[in-house]
Amino acid sequence: MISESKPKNIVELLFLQRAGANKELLVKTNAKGKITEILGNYLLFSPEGLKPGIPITEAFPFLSPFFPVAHREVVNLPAVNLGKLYVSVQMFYEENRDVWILFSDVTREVNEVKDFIQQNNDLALKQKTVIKHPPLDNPFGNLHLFGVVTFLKTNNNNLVCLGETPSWLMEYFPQLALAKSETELFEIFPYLEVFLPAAGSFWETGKEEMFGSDMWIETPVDNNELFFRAFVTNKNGNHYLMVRLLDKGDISVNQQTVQKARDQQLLYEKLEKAEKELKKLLNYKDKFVSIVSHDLRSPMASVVSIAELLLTDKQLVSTMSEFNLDMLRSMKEELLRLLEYNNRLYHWANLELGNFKLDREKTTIRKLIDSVSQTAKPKIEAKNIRFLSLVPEDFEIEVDVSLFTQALNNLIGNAIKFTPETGQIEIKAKQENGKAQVVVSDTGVGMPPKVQQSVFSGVPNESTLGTSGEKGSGLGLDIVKKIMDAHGFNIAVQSEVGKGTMFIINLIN
Amino acid sequence: MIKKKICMLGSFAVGKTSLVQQFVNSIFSEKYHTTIGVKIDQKNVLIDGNEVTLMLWDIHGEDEFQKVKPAYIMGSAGYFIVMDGTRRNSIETGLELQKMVEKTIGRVPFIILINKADLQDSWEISNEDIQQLKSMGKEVMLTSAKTGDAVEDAFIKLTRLMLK
Repeated sequence: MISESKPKNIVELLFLQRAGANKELLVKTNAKGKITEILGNYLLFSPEGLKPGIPITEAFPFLSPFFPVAHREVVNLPAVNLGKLYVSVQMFYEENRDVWILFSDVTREVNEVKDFIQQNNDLALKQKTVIKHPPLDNPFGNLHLFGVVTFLKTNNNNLVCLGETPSWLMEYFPQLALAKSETELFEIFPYLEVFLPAAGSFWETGKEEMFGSDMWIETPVDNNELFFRAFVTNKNGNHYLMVRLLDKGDISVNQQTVQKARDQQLLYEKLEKAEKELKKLLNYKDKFVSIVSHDLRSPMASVVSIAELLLTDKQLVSTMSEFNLDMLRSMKEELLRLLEYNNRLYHWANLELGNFKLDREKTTIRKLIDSVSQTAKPKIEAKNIRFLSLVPEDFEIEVDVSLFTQALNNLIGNAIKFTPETGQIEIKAKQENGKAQVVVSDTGVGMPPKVQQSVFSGVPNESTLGTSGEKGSGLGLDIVKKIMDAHGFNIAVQSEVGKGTMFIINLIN
Repeated sequence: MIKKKICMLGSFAVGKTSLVQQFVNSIFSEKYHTTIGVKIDQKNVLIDGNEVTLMLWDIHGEDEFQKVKPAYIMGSAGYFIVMDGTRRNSIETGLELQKMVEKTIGRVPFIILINKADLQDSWEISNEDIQQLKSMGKEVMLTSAKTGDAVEDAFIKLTRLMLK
C-alpha cells in the first residue's frame, strides 16, 4: 500500500528519514515486474497513480526491457525524461529476484547544465567539430552533472571516455572526450603525468574506494583559473579515472585559510623586522647619550672647580659687588646641578645599555640607610622634615652596595622633594613569612593615578618642581626601577594625592 | 618541437607565480595570491634555432601548510629555486628544496633567482650571502617580477643549460 505517516517497516522508516526523500520514489516488484511495495512520493512520478499488484511497466513503459528479470546486477539509467520531469533510475536486484527500483527527481540538476550543453553543441556545430558521443554508459551514474568526466582504462592500457561529459569539457577541453591513451591525456592535463604512476599502484590493489590527487590549476582562457582534482577507483575488476572541476566555493574557503595564515606570517615577519630596527635605533640613542654625557663630565667639573676657586679667592671676592658675588654663587650652584643631572643621564644610559656588572655583597640594610640618611640630612633639616628609620639592626641583604645605595638615595631624594616643610618621611624594613620588604613613605603631595601608572613604565617622566621649587632630572625613579630589575627585585608604588606616597621594594631573592 | 619541464620552487610569497606571469603574459600584480596546488603554463621559445616548448610547473610555496611533493619534480629538465631578497629565511627553504630535488631526480640544471630586485633597499639577503651561494657552485641571478628585470634572461639561460 501507499506509505502513510506511520512507517510500517524498517525499510520504509530508513527510506523516509533520508534527506530528499520527498523527491524520491522506491518501488519493489517481483521478478515479473508486479508491484509489491511503494514507498515515497509516488504522485510526483506517476500522477495517474500506482498500486500494488499492477505491473511496473504499465506506469513506466520505459522499464519494459528489464522485465522479466534476466540478470542480477545494479542497473543505472541516465536522466529519463518523463514529461516535465527528468528522473534518474537505479535498480537493485535481490537474491530472490525481487527488484527495488529507486526513482530520483534530477530535473533541477539537468536544467542547470542543459543550457551549457546546448551552447556547447551549438559551438561545436559552428566550428564543424563533431565530438563523437562516448558509446558506453557510466557505471557510476550521472557524474557529469557534478562536473566529473569518467574514463575506463581498458586491458590494453587505452582510455575510453564513459557516459555523458560535463559542460566544462565541451567548453574548454573538447579534445579530452577523444583521448585514447594516457599520453594523449597528458597533452591536455600535464599534471596527470605525476598522478597516474601513483594511480597505477592503486589500481593494482583492486580496492573499490576512491584515491585522489592534489589540486591543480588550468587557465584555458583569459587567465581564468579552473581548479581540478583527479580520482581513481576500481569496480567489478575494471579501473576508472575521473577528473573533476572543483566547485569555486570550496576552493575559496581552502585558499582563504592558507592565504590568511600566510598573510599573517608575512605581517609577523614585517613586525619582527621593524622591532629589530627599533632596537637598533634605541641602542644607538643610548650609546649616543652615554658617550655625550661621559665626555661632558670633565669640562663641567672643571668649570665648577673654577667657580669654586674664584669664590675662595678672598682678594677677588673683596673687589666684587654683592650682586656679582650672588651671580657667581648661583653660577656654581647651577653648574653643580647640571653636573648632577649629567651624571644621572650617564648612569641611566649605561643601565639601559646593560653596561654594568652587579657586584653583590652581604651587608645590613641598616648600614645602607644610615649612609643614605646622612647624605640627605642637610636637605631634610632645610625643610624641617621628620625622618624616621625603623630598620632592624640585623636585617641582612645581598646587593650591589653602590647601586642599591643610589636607588635608596633617589627614593629618599624624591620623598624630600615632594614633602612640604614639617612633613614626615619614614623608612621601614621588615621580614615576615619568608618575605622581605623595604618601604619608603612620605606625607607629601602624592601622585595622581595617571602618574602612578607611568612612573615605572620605562619611559623617563618629565621633571616636576618640588614643594620648595626643587628641580630634578625626571630620571631618578627610572634609575631606581632599572637597579631593582638588575637585582631581580620588584618595586611598586601606592599614592594618594594630598596624603603622600609609598614605595615598596620586595626583596624577592 | 622539443618539450622541457621546468619547476618553480621556493618558500611562499617569494614571487614564483609572478615570475611565470611576467615571463608568459608580461603582467604583474602587487597583490599576493597564494598558489594552491600546481599551476602549469606553457611558453614556446626559440633558442639558438631550436623551438622549445617550456612547460612551467608553478608549484605552491613550501611552508608548514603546504609541502612540495617529490612526485611534482619527476621529469623536470631544469628548475628555478626562487628566494625573496627581502626575506633572508627564504634562503634556507630554497636550499632545502634544492637538496630534495637533487635527491629525487639527480643533477639537472637549475638557477637560484633572488627576486624582488626592485626592493633592493630593504633586502635582508646581503652581497656576502650571494657570494656564499656562488662559492657553493650555484648559479645565482637577481630578478624583479615587477619590473621584468632579468626574468626573460633567466628562463633563456636555464633553457640553454637544459639543451646542452
